[in-house]
Amino acid sequence: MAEREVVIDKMRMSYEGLFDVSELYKLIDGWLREKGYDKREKRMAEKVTEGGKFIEWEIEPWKKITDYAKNVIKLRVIMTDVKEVEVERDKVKVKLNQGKVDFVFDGYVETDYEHRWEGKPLFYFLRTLFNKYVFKSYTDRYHANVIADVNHLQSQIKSFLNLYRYSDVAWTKPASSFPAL
Amino acid sequence: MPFPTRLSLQPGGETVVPTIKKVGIFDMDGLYKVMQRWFYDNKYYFEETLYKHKPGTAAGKEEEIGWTGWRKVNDYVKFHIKVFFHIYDIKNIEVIKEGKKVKLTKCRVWIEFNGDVELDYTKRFGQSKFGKFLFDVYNKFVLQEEKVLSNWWDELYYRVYKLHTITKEYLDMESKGNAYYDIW
Repeated sequence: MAEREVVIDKMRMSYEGLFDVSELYKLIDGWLREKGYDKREKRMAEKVTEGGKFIEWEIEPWKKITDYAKNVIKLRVIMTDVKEVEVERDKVKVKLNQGKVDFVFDGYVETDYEHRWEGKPLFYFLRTLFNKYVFKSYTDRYHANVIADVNHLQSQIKSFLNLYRYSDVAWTKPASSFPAL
Repeated sequence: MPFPTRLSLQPGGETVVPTIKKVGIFDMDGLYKVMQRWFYDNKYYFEETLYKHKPGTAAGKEEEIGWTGWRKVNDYVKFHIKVFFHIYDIKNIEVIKEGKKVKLTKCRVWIEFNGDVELDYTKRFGQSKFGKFLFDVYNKFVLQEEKVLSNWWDELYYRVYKLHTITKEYLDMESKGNAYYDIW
């Protein structure tokens, strides 16, 4: 079993208001591709409820840093009461979504993912020793890598959502009609 | 430790596979055809290995469907893709869409995607101890997992995600789209 070290543990972020769900997904997917992460979508769930759609995404992409260590980001996105609304922007009608979204970020560093150092108890002991003391500078760098990536992803998502938060017609409750701007 | 003859698609030997869960009204027959079509278009031999139909509850019927698609990549490697459907509370309904009556299905569907890369499917190395030893040496030192075998693993992995994307698009999920579509 590879050694998985928790670097970021359940970093949360919430938003309520207007946003575009499909664009949010494209942003996250595009960011992962750009940063060189391999795709892993563990769960994609959607359910239509009385209050709106319930959407849940659980993704756990990874990126091999060396043949010994890899970065793993776990992102869980839960959207509740998502409704489709029409907004007028610059005299153009745009379809957006209105709802509540919660993000949970986890960051891990997985070492010895090829299981080369766990065949025997002595190897396992040596691996732990080396990880903790001999290669400490390297493992600290791997941790810093994951923290930087998770923070960057979080800031990208924050900027994306802020675009809608500070738009002229950001509502916290859906309205049946929108006032002319 | 002997080299495995099948490389699982789940990295690190995990058992969690990509899943899609959808509750709502959609065209189940159309989804079936579109996904099956993908196998044929990508030159996979398609087999429906499991079909279970249960009367279910008052909420609706229940079905379990298992598919396997396989394709020979070359005379050493074979790709296997497995899809498993578990459909609950099935009710056939009629809706009016764009002025026409359309038969759709109201249900809860859970779709799992998996696969593996089979090595030496022609059994050229044989079943003897020496043959197995040669198989291990060939895969560990000649092909090398991180250099050659990982390419085939990677190809199958992203092809399964293409099927996953097509399924999400047909179900009109908000997470449709795939930034990795041009890989393989």
